[in-house]
Amino acid sequence: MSARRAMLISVDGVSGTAVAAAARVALAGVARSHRGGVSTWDASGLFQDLIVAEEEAGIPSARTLLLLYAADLAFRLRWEIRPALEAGRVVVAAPYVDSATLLRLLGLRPVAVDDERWSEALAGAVVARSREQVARAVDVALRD
Amino acid sequence: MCDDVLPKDPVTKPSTPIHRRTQRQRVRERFADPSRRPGLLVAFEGPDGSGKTTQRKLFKTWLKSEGYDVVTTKWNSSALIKPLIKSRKSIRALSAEEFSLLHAADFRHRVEQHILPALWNGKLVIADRFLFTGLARDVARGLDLDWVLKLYQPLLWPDLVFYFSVSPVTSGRRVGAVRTPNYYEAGQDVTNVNDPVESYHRFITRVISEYESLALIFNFITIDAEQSIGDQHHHIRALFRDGERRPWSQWNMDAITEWLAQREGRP
Repeated sequence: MSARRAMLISVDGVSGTAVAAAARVALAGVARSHRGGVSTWDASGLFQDLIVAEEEAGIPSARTLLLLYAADLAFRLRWEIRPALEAGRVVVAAPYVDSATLLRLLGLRPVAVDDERWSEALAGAVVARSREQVARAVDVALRD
Repeated sequence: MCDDVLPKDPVTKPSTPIHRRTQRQRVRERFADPSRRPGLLVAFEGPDGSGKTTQRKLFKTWLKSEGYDVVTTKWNSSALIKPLIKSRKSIRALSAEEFSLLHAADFRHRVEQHILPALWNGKLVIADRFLFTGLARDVARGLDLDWVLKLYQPLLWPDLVFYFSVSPVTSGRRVGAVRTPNYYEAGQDVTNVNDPVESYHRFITRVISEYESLALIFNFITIDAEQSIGDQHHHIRALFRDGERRPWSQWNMDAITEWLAQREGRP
């Protein structure tokens, strides 16, 4: 397989700082001309906009937040992830699979992703505990 | 919103099967007790220009004169989510999926913040558009009905759904008499037609077709919205009198139990 193939790398974790750092490491292992960028949470600005809501508007439940998360993910897929993949580049989604798992619990699936790529993304998950493991996993995937 | 009658259970511990059973029992007692006036949820559905808002106002006035404690909720009106949708609509930034997900979020927030608390307190809630609006419009935009239905789970079913049936021509004529349909109202995001009036006609034809299917699937009460305002109103009164005597069903148990658990901090 060509080393120039499109690739979606998902980075997930409970620490936002660690996720961001791992995303940078993952992309650092990719040739500059092949990089499609890092897609991060709230690219749509939905959650940023929630911050300015009046207190009387009420606190959103987990289910409401999950629908907003799904809307944000649909935005990221449309404007960041799919265009990078269609251009044959490597894109890092941080976070991604965690949200997918949560969405699965609700029986949801972002319809912008086809089933084959969705399955690939889930099946290709690598649990990494260090920067070296992240870099090695990306390196191996690019050489496959 | 009056919360003081929402019971607290200081004894039962969180998330146990026993607690869940207790919650379901409390929901059953609350809504099936024949000695108290139960909360009722009445939805008004139909395409733009079908006259449902006029009928909703007449219906509310009549109900209040009959002694009902009435609360109204409108589509896309959550104080939390509406501004998010409005700003994105204004720059035409929403895909069909995002449009659908955000309206489902708005609906869920209103269900939890306004509709269920009002029903729990025995009020009569009139919904000027309900989740069926989302289903009809989203499917008309090309999304899958099953996918859209999942966004609204756990489902909350109205006790009565009045569907105001008009033809696409009537809808277009009534809307066109007062305004030019906006970009999303005209479905220009999916029709790719530049003329909003022409786009509206094409889009509302699809929406009405979906409504007609939903009316059959979900057993709506269809009102001929081409009739006079007075005839429709008296018809609605009579239908309501029959419908309000229906016994409470178990359909809404999951939605109410989940809301109750959230309210008590027991997810």
